[in-house]
Amino acid sequence: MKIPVPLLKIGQVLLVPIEIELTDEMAEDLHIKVLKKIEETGVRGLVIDVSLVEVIDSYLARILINIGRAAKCLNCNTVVVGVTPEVALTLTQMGLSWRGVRTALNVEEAIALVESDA
Amino acid sequence: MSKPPQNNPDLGSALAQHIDVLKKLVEGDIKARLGGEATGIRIVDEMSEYINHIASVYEDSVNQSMELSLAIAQFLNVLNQVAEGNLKVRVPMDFEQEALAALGKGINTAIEKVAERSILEELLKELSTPVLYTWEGVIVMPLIGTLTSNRAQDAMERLLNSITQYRAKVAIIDITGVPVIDSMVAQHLIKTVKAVKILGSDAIITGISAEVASILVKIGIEVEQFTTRNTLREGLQHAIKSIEGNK
Amino acid sequence: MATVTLDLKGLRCPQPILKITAKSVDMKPGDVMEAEANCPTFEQDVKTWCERVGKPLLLIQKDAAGVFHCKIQF
Repeated sequence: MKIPVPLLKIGQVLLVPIEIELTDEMAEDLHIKVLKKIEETGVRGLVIDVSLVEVIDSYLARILINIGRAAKCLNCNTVVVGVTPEVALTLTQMGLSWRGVRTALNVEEAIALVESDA
Repeated sequence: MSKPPQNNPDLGSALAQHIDVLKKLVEGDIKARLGGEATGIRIVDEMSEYINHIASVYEDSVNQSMELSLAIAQFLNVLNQVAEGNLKVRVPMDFEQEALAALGKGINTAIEKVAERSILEELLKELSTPVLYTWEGVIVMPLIGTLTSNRAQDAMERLLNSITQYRAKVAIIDITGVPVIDSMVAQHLIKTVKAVKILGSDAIITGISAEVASILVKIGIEVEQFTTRNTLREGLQHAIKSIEGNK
Repeated sequence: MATVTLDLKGLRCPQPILKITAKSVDMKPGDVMEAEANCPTFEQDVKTWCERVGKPLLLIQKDAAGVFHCKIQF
């Protein structure tokens, strides 16, 4: 299935801007696609931008967390951009652990964060 | 010249002796025989001869059965020990009856073959999960093939033993050659990493594929416990750096 | 530690020994086998059996009626 989410490699960072609402199936496919790309390219940083996503439900949140944790296994650090305070609050109330996945306010900051880790 | 049988008192007592010996034989005294003295009555002496002959045959037959019975007992004894895991025992082969000696030989050959095969299996187990000693303080265990829980358990034990034996500071477990990892093996991996840390060393997992990473995360393994590097090469670089750094 | 008894009276050689062999399969380590037999050669036979198979012969006695009693340790 062709996922209309681009994966942009910028140096040692993979940028994934999500600009549309994702169905569960699309989110699952994105997970696989992103990890395969990390494996292929060996990038040390992953930045997922969800600023344009209207609704981040628990399913998407879980996918994001799993992508982050799996990326860590591939020696790649993840930063998520665009999690609003309201969304963050709701998510913690859902009992999800964000351990290991960091957040940033914008993409530039995220890339800087990730590069400083590498 | 023999006297007519009916009036001869010797005949009566001779026949009585015959019956006596026959009775003993029936009761199981296989050594019962008639005395050597001839009575002079041809038919009686002939009978004595035949009775002794049959008694001999009977004794031989019983002895053979005895030998067979003892052989069975001895074979069973050895087979029990083999079943318990003792592959060094052998059955005796010194029997009069050839068939028994042959059976004994057959059993011993079978035990030897089983012993050989079990040594080979042991070797194969070790070869398929070898522990490699590289720079001082770094050991590498490349896991190859689909891991069963037994193999994983075995490999992990040997890794921990090797760490202690060689005082390794870093253990690299490379799973590039493992196509599929199930939750049982993943559990072994986590346990091993924790155990390595308890021993005071570090563990690095290398060769995790995107697929394996996804599986690990999906089944809820605490991947935060892992230090990972993509390739064995990077793992070695990291290991050497950390050892040099600590000197 | 079970005790297993065998009545082998009336059986002729080598039947008693064959029966002892057959029963030995069911014996567990620590068990004792007690047997009675009246075959004339029983004493020698059971001694040979115990020696070849490697089990201690605890007892071999002949009573007034001519019956042998034996105990074998497994």
